[in-house]
Amino acid sequence: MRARLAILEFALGSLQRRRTKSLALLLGLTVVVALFASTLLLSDSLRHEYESHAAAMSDLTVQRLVAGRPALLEVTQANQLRDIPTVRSIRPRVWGYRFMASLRGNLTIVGVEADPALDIAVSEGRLPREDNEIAIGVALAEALALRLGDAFSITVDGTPRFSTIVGVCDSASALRSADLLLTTPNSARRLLGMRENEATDFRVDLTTMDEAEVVTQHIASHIEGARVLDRRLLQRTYELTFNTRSGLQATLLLPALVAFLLLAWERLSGLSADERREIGILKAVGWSTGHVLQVRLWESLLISGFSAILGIGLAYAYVFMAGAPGLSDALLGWSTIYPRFTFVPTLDLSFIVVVMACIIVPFVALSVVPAWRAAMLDPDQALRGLP
Amino acid sequence: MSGSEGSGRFQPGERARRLLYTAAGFAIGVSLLLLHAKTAREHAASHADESRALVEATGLPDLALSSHSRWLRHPSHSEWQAAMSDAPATLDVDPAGALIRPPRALHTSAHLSEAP
Repeated sequence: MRARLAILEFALGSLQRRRTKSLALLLGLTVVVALFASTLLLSDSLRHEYESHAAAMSDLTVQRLVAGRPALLEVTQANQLRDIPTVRSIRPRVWGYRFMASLRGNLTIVGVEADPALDIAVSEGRLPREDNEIAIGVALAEALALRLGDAFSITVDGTPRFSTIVGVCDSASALRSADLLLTTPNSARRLLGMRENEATDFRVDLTTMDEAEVVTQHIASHIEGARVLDRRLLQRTYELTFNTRSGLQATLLLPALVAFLLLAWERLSGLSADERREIGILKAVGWSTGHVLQVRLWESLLISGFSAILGIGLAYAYVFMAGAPGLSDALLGWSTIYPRFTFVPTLDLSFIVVVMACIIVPFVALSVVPAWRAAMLDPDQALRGLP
Repeated sequence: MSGSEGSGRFQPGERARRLLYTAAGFAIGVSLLLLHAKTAREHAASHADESRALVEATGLPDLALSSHSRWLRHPSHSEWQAAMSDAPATLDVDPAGALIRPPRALHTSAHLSEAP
């Protein structure tokens, strides 16, 4: 134990003697870890947010495609599907996008059926029940300086249509409600320029999901060009959407990988004259090859271990405290109506252990070869500065 | 072999003690991070009912991160050519497209049914 402590003590001294090199390695590796961890933390947080309420969707969503583009459905087509066994309910849904020139952005207009049980969806007021009522998301309310009770006008066919704001969603649901305008289905049709008997898609609930594929085939045979979305597949999609294969992550990890390889190359690229002389002296006074090897491995372990923790800490602060500036801008794209959101941290001990293992193990492993080469130096040659 | 050579029996030196203190400091820092994350999750969970009710009312679970492009605003409901329909044979015109992948799982297998 004492020998090990002595070796650790010597390794710390060695790092201290080569302070500049040690700090450069520590900082470089910390930046690599911070980049790596911040992309993982951000994507984990977004995936979690996506998955959290995916179960609240309908079992199946029926759309219609014409010439590869979404087309509207006739509400009467829903009646053809009601007799399919295991179909519990079918609800035509009206929703779509409307460009607002004043905001240079799209609103998502959704027709919702009046249901007092769902009034908690808006923090102020309630969901609309009359055709001249709307509820809006907090980002839209802020962008247009609107409050509960204000009148809101949208021009349809050259005629302004006024609606009263009866509900405002708050920042807690801003990630889903930022650009939403909720109104009754009839009002939504008027705002979106749809006819009375048209719907965007159908929400279908089943008595059992086991029959989803059979029901899908039935629907396909009743509605030409039907595209049926299965809730379970959507949930699986969310698992895949923000995984490590996404484009931006890969782009971000590329420089991190290059930096990591550069660091590894630095470790593999031999010893300085001072280091050779130091090892020569140590071996001349009785240190074994194993002792020298241990010192070098301790150095790598300390640098990579502290870099990993510092990098994770930096990544956490960057994503969850600073709001991931730069990364979140890329997420928002060209949007002009966007939520002010804070990412919910998914950090746990297993994440820290995995990231540390991903950094420490390869770094220490890469240092084994130069450490072995250093430990095998002949003391006489090392002291005389021979290669 | 270390900073305490010459004392006869080896005792952990100043450097090892400083390392111990630093490691303890890092452990406390990590614990604080985990505590912060847990508190933030609990706070978010306490407001989850509003979001859940909103998804039930609209049936749309997608996030309003990128409202400019329909295939990014509602990736779960967009047709598979959506990103290319306005600018054929181009890369995704929206920067957010680099992060929000198209839901490829929806574009394969039996659930994509077309009328015979």
